[in-house]
Amino acid sequence: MKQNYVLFVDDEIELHSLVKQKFKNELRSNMFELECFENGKHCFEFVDNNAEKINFLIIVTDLNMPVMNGFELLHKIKEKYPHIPVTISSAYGDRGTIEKAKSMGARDFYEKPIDFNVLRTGILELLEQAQASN
Amino acid sequence: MNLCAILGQHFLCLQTNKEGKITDASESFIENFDNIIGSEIKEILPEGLLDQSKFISTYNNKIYSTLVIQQFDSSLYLLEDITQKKIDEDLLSKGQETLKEAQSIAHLGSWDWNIVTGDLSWSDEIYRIFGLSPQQFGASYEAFLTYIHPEDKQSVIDAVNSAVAQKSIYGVEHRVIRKDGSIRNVYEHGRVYFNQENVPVRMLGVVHDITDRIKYEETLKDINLVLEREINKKTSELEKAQSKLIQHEKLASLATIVAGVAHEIKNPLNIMKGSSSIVEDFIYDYPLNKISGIKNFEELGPYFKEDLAQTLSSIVGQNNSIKRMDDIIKSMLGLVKNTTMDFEHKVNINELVKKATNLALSASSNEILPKVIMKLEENLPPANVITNELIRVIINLVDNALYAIKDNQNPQLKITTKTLLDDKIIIEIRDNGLGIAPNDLKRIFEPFFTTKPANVGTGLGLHMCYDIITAHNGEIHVDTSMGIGTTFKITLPRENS
Repeated sequence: MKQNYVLFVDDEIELHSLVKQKFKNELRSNMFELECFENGKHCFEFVDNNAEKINFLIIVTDLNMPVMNGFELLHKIKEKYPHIPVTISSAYGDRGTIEKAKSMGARDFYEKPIDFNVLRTGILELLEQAQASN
Repeated sequence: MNLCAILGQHFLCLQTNKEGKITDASESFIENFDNIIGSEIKEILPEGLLDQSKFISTYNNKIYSTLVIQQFDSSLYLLEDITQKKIDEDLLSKGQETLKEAQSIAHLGSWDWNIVTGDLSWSDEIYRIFGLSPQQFGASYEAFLTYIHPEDKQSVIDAVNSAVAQKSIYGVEHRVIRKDGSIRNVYEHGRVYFNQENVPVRMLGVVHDITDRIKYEETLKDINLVLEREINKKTSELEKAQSKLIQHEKLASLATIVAGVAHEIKNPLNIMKGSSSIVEDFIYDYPLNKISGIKNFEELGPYFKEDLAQTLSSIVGQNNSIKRMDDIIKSMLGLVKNTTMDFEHKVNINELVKKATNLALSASSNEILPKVIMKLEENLPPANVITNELIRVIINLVDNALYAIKDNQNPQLKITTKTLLDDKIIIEIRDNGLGIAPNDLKRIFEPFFTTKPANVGTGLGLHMCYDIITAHNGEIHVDTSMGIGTTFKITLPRENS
C-alpha cells in the first residue's frame, strides 16, 4: 500500500522531535508519514529509494546545511520529480533568496523563526491539494 | 777710446756737452739717426726728468729707463730698454684691478697680517664689507677686533689662537657690526706661516661676506618650514580621511558580524518558537480545568503521558536554545562594546579563529557553502592580541575566500593554525577559488585597490588587515595560483609565558 509522506530537512536536530510533536494528530491518524533528515543528500536518497512506496510527498527543507544544502536539494528534486512540492524554511529571508527559491520552483517560503501553526496549516493545505489532484 | 764706444756694448749711450748738444753716441744711435752728433739731446729724449739722475724716455716707440751721469763739463746718458717690463707692470696692475673687481663681486676680501710688526693689510673689499671706505684706516688686529660682534669676539680670538697653537687652518664664522649698526655675516679662512724657529710670523686669509647667503638660506629654511607644515597638514588630512574610510570598513565588517549573528540567533529562536507552539498545543489539548479534577491519567486519553513527556522535553530543550542565543549575544556585545584597542593577554587563537570563521560563514550569501576543514593545532600557545581587531581580520579573509569560491561547484575552505619554530603562531586561510592575477597581487594591500564591483568592495579590507597585523608585530602574506586557489598566511608572535 502506498503512503503519503512529509519529509522535513534541517540540520537542527532538536527541530525534528518538535515537528513530530506538532503533527502528532496527523501522524496518529496515519494521514501521512513524517521523516526527518539532517541534510539534502539523505532526503534525496530517501525519495529515490522509496519511489514505489510513495503516494504523494511534500518536502519542507532548510537552505543552509552541510553536505547538500536546500537549493541543491530543490534543484535535484525539480529535475527528477518536478511534481513534488518543496517548501523552504530558512533564516535567510531576504528578497533575493526568496525570489531565487521561487524561481527554482519552491512552493512556499517560511522565514525562521517560523510560526509552527502557519507551517502546519500550509502543509495540510498542500496535502489536500495533492489528494484532490490525485 | 771714448766712453760711448765702451759702454755701447751693453747700453744705448749718449754724451752731451754742457750746452746739451750731443757730442758722442753709441753705434746703434749713429746707424739709426743721421747727423746725431751735434743735435740737441731734447730732440732725441723729449721726456721729462724723473728725478735728478733717472727718467723714463721713449725712443723708436720703445720705453727706456734713462740714467744721467753728470760729469763736470758733460753729461752721459745711459738708456736701458724697459718696454717689456713696462708692459708686464701694466698687465700686473690691470690684473690687480681685475682681482679687486672679482673680490668685490664675490664679496671676498683678502688680508695679510704681519704678526711680528702687527701690520695688517686689507684688500679694498674687506673695507667695504666692514662698511669703511677703502684703505680708510690703518688696520691692525686690535682694530679689526673692535668691528666684531661682541658675542662672536671670543670665538674669533680662540680660532686665531688655536690656528697658531695647533698650526691648523684658521676658519671662523662671525658677525661684523658696521659703524651704522648694520650687521654682516662673514666667513674667515686663513693660514699661519711660521719661520724656521717655529715662530708664527705671518697670517694670510680671506674674508667672505656670506650675509646674503645666510639670508637666502634663512628664507629657504622658512620656505621649507612652510612647505613642510603644509605637507604635514595635507598628510594628516589624508590620514584622517583614510582612517575615516577604514572606520567605514570596520563598520562594514561589523555589518557582516551583525548579519552573521542575526542568522545565528534565528535558528535557536526557531526552536524556541516551535517548542512554545508545542506547549500551546498541550494546553489546548489538556485544558487546566479538565486536568484539575482528574483521579486517573487514563481519563485524559491514550496519549496524555506521551504528550506530557514530549512537551516537558521541548521545554527543557529551550534551555539549550536560550544558552545558544545568550552565547551569541554575549560575543556580539563583546565585539561592539569592547571597542578599545587594548591588547589582551593569553588569547586563545583557536577559539578566536573558530568564532570569526563561523560568523563569516553565517553571514555568507554564497549559494553553495564550502566544505570547511579546520585543522587547529591542539596546544597552540596563546597570543597577546587585540581580539576584536584580529576577529575583523579573520572575518575579512574568510569573506574574501568565500567571494573567491562563490561560483565554484566544489568550494572548499581550509583554516589552519600551527606553531612555527616555537615562537610564532601561524594562521592560514586557504580557498580553492579563482586565485589572484599576478598584476593585482602586488597591489592587494594598497588602500582602495579592489577587483570587486564598486558596491561590493571598498578596497580597504586587506589594507585594514595589513594595518592590524602590522600593529601586532605580525606579518601577512599571500600565496596564490590562478585557478587553483589562494592562501593567506598570518604570522603572529606568541606570548611569552
